[in-house]
Amino acid sequence: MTEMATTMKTETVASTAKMTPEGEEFREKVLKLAGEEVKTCIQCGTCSGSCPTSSLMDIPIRKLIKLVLEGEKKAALESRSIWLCTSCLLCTVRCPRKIRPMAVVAALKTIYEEEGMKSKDSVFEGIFARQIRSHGRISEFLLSTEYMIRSPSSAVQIITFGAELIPKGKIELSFEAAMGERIEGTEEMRRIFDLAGGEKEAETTEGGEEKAKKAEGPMAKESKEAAK
Amino acid sequence: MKLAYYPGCVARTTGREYEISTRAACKALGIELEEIDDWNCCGATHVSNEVVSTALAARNLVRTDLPVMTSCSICYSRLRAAMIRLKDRKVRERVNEALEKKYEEEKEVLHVIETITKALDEAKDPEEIVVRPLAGLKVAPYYGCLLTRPGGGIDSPERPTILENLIRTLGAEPTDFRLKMKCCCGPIFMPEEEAAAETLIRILRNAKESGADFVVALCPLCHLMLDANQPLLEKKFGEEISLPILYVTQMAGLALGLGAEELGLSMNSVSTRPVLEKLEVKEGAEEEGAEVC
Repeated sequence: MTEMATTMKTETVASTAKMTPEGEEFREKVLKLAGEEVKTCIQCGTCSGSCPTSSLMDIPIRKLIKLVLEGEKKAALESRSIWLCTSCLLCTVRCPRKIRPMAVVAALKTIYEEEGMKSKDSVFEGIFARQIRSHGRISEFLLSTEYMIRSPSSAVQIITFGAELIPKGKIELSFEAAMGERIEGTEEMRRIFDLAGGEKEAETTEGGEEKAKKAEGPMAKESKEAAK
Repeated sequence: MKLAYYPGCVARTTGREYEISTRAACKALGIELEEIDDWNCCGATHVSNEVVSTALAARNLVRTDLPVMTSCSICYSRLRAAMIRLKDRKVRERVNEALEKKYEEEKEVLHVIETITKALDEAKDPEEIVVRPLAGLKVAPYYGCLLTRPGGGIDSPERPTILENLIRTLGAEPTDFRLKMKCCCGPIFMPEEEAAAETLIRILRNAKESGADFVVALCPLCHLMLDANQPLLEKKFGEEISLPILYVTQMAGLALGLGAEELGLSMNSVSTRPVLEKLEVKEGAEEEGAEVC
């Protein structure tokens, strides 16, 4: 244990000393997306200890936050952990520093996609988001068929599951169903998704930073109240 | 009472019986539901950009002046999380750039369990409404993750009691279900089936060991994972579970005297017949068993 702590300490010092400009930029970007309070992490491990999928992760959430703060972009983005987060928010309601570890994971996913990296998980999220953007709603039929086409190894799982749901009338195979339900406000949907582009611009300005910082306020207060 | 109803996408596909039973139970309680016009997907857990996910929720909230009710815990959590973000003026301004109708003020957002609980609490004589008490039934209360998160809402995120209380009000007995708040891993099921399966089988085993006649679920994704997925999990792990998974609205509907058809009970994957049989045995033959599915 003592040995581990010493190693960890050494690591922190070493990585801080060698943080590259790219690493620094990465760290700042995550802080802007997930909240400046991430810097106050005390590495207590409450997040990892609460996480329902921590046993499956290559890097525990606690360590992932450490990697972010050390600007270890490659290691953080390549971790399978960001795709094993179920967004259950338990880490977020429990963090004693009012950090939202789930928001850190979300920020890493955003950067992952911006960097053009790809995995079966990011493919799924991409299909999901594109469908909301174009239709306003999710059609499970469209979602699973597109995912099956793009990630053929999922075919067995999807077909077996479909065989369970189709006879119950829960997934329709009609032409209309295949086209998906489309809302009237699709133009508004497009504008909503374009806000993500605006985020990049906002980040380079001082206003963007202030916004991110302030945005964390009410949420942190909320968690504090909840903890009581 | 009149509420705005936000169904969420799953209500129209794999969670169809949740929507059917939500409408039926609310009607029985004298609550009128007005579906939000041209509502959109909340983004669930798959839109990582926070401004976008907040705006998706906000567009739904501004489409009505009534309190908003949803049956889906994910939609519910997303709407609440968005309102927390929207307290910040700058976030509100960003979001409003994209919205036709601007987000100006907070809304009351309710989960259907809250609506049912309130209606029963406010009833002069709950016994008059609970015409078919679920006496003799043991129910595993499955909260899942998002009903109480982020905190500050419906109930304590660590020790909630709302579901156990409702089970008791309806005449049944909640079981001691240790994994009641363990996330079903539904959000990662599609790309990470193996990871989800391990967690799901543990939840189901634990619910069964608690001596429950059925599990009650509050979220269509939890339900999908535990119900439609149950036969697949049984095959995968080579063990029989056969544990009916009822939606909270199906459970409440039964106690309110509604029939199996009205509650979409034949649409559940795992047969709900054992529950109905047990109930009708207790209740005598006033239903003639005609609606048993």
